[in-house]
Amino acid sequence: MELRDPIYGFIEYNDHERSIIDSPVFQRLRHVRQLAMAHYVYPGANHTRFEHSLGVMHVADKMGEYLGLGKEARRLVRLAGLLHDIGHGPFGHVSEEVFKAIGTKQQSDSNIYKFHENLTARIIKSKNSLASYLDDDAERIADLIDPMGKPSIEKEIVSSPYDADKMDYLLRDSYFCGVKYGVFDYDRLIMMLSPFEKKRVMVKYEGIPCFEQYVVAKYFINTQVYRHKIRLITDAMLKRGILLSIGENDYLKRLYAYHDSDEYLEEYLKSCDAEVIRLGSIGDSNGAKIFKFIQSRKLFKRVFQIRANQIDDKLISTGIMGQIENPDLEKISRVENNVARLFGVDPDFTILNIYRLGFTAGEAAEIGKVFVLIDDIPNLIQDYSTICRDYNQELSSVFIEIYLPLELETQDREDFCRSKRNEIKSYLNVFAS
Amino acid sequence: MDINRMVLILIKNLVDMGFKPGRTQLQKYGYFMLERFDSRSIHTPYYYGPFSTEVEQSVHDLVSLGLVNESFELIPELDTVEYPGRKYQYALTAKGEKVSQKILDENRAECEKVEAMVKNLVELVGKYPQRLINAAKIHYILKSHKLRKNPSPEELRNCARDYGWKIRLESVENGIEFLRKAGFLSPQSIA
Repeated sequence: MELRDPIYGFIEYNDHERSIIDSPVFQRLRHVRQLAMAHYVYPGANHTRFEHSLGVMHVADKMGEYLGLGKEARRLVRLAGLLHDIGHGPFGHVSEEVFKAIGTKQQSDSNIYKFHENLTARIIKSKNSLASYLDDDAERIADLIDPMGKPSIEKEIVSSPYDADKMDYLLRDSYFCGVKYGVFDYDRLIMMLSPFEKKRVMVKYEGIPCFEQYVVAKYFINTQVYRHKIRLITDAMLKRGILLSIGENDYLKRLYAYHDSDEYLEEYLKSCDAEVIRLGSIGDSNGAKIFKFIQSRKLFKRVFQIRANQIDDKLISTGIMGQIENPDLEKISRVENNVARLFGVDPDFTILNIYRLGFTAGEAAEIGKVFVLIDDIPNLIQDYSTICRDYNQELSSVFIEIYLPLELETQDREDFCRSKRNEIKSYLNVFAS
Repeated sequence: MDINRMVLILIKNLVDMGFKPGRTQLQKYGYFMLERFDSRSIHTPYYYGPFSTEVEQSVHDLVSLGLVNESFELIPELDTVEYPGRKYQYALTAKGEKVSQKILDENRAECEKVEAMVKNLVELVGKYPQRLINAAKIHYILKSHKLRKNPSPEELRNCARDYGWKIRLESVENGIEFLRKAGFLSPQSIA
C-alpha cells in the first residue's frame, strides 16, 4: 500500500503499519500541528505531526536500507520513526515547556527533562494505548526511541544529529511554510553516511560539503521559521495561558497534572491543539483572556530584545544563559513585575522569554557528536569544517525578549520601547548572582 | 552554581594547573563534575565515552561571551588537502579571569569543592589522559547498564564492547581503582 506525500511522492506502508496508523492514538496526531501557531505567520504551515510521522518512517527506512540494516531491523526503525512523536502533547514543544515549568516548580522529578521520550515510551508500552498493536516490538521500539543506552545504527537513525526526524522536518516544514530555507540534498546526505563498527553512523569524508549544506539549512530554518518573532510570541502566550489557567481550569489541570497511570494516559491521549484553545478560553481569568487574544490573533508585542553576549557585564550574561536549563522563577517574575509596572500592564500579561536560536534542546551542541571518517578513523567534524563549527556557534546564541500587549502603531511602539530600553536592561541585573 | 559558571571554574582550575584543555579533556572532567554536583545531568554514550550536551553547550557559551579563548593548531598527521584538521584548546581570557574571580568570591564553598575534585582527578590521571577517559566509561556503564550487583571486571569489559568502547581488562581494573580513589565508587560496589 502507498499514500501520496508532497515531499517524497509516495510513502509505502504495510498492513501492520496501517493498523497502527488507523489507531485512535496515532490518529490524534492529525490534530497536533507540527509548528504550533506558525500558521499565524506562514498560512501554509497547517501540517501536523501525523504526516511528519509518516515521513519519518519513510526516511528511517531509506536510511536503514542504505546503511545496510537487515529486514527485521528496518521493520523496527520504520515503526520507531512512525511512533517517535506519539507522546507530543498539544502544540508539541509548548506542552513540553509547560511540563518542564511545572516540574521546576515542584523540584520533584529530574526526569522531567526527558519528559517527551519517557511519555512516548510509556504510551508505546501501555496495553491500553499502543502495546496491543505492537506485541513483542513495544519494548524494542521504546528502547530505540530512548537516546540513552547502548548505541546502534538503528538508534542513530531514530535519534542523532542527522536522524530521520530532523531530515523530514526540515524538508516538510520548508515546504509547508513556502520557504526554501530548510532545503538540502537529502538523497545525497543519506548516501554520505556510513556505518561504523556496526554501532554508529558517521559522515564520509567526501560528505563534508553535503553535511555542511544540511547544517546551514538548519540554521536558516531556525532563524526564519522556528524562531520567527510571531512564532516565539504565540508559543510564549500559549505557555503563559496554560500555566495561568492550570489552577482554575479543570481540563488543563487534568491534562498537565502528569502521573504515571493508565487513567492519565487515556486523558492525555485525547488532547489536541484545538481543545486546549477552546476549553482554555472559557471563563474570564487572565489565562482565559490570553487564549481569547490568541483566538482573535491579538498578539502581544515584542518590546525588548537583546543577545546575552551583548550585555556588558558577563556575570549577568552567564546568569541569563543558566536560566534556559534551570529557570529561577522568582528572578524571572521580578523582571516581569518591574517591566509590567514600567509599561502599566498586568504582570500576568508580561512575558520574559529566554531562548537559544537552536530550536531543539542541545541542537547546537550536538555537532560535538558528529564524526567524519578519514581513512576509516573517526574525527570530530567540527575540527574539519569551519562551517559546521561557526553555524552551530551561532545556533547557540541566547536571546532575551519581553512580550506584552501594547496598542501602538509600529513606529510609535518602537520609539516608546527604545526610550525604556536602558531601564529594562537594568532589571536584568537580577541575574548577576 | 549554574553549568556555565561551573565549566568556567573547571577551565580556570585546569589552566592554573598548567594544562591547555581540549574538548575531550573538558568533556571528561565535566562528566565527573556534573556527576558530583548536578544530579539532573544527562550523558549519552558516544564514540569517545560519555558525552554531555550541556558541557559542550557551555563551552560554546563561554567562548561567545568572550570569557574563554578558543585557539587551535593544525593536526599534521591527519592534515587533509580540502579540510585541514584542527585541535582546539581553551584558556581563560582577561575578562574570563575577572568573571571567574567574582564567581569564586560569591561561591567560595562550591568552587573549592570543584577545585578539590579537579585536583584529585589530575593527580590520579598523572601523565596518562586515557585513565580519565576509561574511568568515565566505566562509571557510565556502572550507572546506566543493568548489571548484576558487584560486576566483575570481565563483565564491565564486555559491557564496554556493547557501547563500542574497547578497554583492556587491565585498564578496567585500573579504572575501578581510579573511581574508588576519586570517591566515585563505594569500596564494596565492585567484586
